[in-house]
Amino acid sequence: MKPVTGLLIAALVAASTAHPMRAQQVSIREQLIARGAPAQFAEQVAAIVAASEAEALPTEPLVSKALEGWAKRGRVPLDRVIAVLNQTQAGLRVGREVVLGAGFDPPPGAVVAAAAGALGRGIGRDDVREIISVSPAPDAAATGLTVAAALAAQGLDRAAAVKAVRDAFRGGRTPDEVLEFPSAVTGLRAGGESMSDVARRILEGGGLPMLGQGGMGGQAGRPHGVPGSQPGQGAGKKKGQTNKP
Amino acid sequence: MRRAVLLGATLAVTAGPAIAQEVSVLVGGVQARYADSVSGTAGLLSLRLSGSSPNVAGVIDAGFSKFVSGEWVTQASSYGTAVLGLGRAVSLGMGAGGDVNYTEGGLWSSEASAGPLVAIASGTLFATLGASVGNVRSIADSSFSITTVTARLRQDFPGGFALSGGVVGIAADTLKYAEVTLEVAHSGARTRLSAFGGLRTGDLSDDPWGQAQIEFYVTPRTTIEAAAGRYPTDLAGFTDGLFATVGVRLGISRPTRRLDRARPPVMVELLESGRVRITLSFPGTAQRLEIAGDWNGWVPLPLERRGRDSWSVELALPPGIHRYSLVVDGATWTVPEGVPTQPDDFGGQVALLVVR
Repeated sequence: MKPVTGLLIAALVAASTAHPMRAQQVSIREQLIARGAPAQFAEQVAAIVAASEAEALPTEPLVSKALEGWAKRGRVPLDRVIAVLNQTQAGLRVGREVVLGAGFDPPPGAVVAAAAGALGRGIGRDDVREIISVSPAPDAAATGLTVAAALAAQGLDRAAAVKAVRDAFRGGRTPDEVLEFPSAVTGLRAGGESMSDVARRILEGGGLPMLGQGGMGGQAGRPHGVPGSQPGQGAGKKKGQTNKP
Repeated sequence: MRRAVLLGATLAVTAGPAIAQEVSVLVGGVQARYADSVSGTAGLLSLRLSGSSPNVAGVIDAGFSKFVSGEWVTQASSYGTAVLGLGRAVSLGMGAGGDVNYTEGGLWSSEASAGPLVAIASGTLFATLGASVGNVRSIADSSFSITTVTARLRQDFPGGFALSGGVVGIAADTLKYAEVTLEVAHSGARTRLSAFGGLRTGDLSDDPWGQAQIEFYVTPRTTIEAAAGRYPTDLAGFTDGLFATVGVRLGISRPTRRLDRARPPVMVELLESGRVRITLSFPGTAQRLEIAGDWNGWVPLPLERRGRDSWSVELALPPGIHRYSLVVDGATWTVPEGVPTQPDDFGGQVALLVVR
């Protein structure tokens, strides 16, 4: 990438970040063209984004998906990108409907996007509503749905993915802690557990381990498994040492 | 007594899966040389039960050793914690633990203690502060109280390395002493290596001690464990000594590998500036590595090489799950191995980056 082009893209990205609701939609066409996209493709994307905005759907997932598709154009045909955008838009519509049904009116865009992502990973509508209902706040609902979708995408049984998030929120875990679950699953898999083992662990109520947990312990001593002495011979104190109060 | 021990072990193995998520048996041998120059060689059979839920974790080890000279010793130790998250990085909880040693002929000792703890996490740094009170029953048939204050730090590094250290202050009736410990560990795909050492000052001062341990994961349910080193004198009345152990741990209900030993090869550090430093391991022949994600419209940004396979970059990322890919030499889109991924909807994969 040439430095000038990179600076231009960076400036456009910065502008869209500064005014996400308006500038992103206005600038998606310009962003794509600045990156060398054909005008026709940029117009198609802009039209989908504009239509979504008119329906009060969140547009950030569409903008991001369009830019990702264009960035990966070396292996992704542009008509595939448009098809994915249409699919994403349809998912957002369903997500909005489900979030409305869960009692959010108007539905927060982040929750709608997360619900669409979860539904797209095969998580059922009732499960989406349940995660929303147990979440302590809308932001937490978006996090919980995103994590459930990520767990399902990793191959975890969907029931286990939903249970992990649901039980975590019911158990008082924070959204920050729930965010660790995908990494925890990856760690378990790397540790030799099959995905069905992980799912069983969750469904049996074992939950997921928190990365970085542990570390208290007491004072140092003899390792477990090493007898303190051979019976009748070794028990006792080191010469000159007093360790009995 | 021997029959009772065997019955207990049988019951534990049978009932283990019902009360613990992980049950394993260690079969091996021990060679020990005690401070009074007595040596012993023993066979070891040990059972481990462990489990964790969102807020509670615990482990119980129970072992039976039989010396080649015929005598036997039983040991059991346990430790558990229960924590409640207080916010973004702080948890408050309770820890409790204890151990019992019984030697053929009636010599026995025990220790039990419990107390509050605070755990603080910041990026890859993890700190715990705790205190406990309890009781020790020594092999000399005396009983006394024990109070400990503990501070520990652990820092994880890319590539599976971890460095941890701690300070423990101990008051046991009239004895007062402090211990400083340091541990270096490396977790690989098939192995875990660790070296642990310590120094004690005060009323129960001793020579420095050190131990090394290796675990080799033969299969998900089979681990070869070996350790050797020196351990210090303890309050229960046992002298210091040298030891070497080797054994095979067999997982009964779960793989034997510990849950926290397989770390994704990506580290996320929250910097004081509010930015995030991402350090990842990417083995291979890449000359240039870039990262692109949903946080900046998928514009590839260069990573800086930090070592042979280590790369890093600082980014302004809010908390959440971010989707990203790596671009190798400006051409190939890929994801690091061993990190959470999901389909990118374009026929490939994206990696998930968690920022807390």
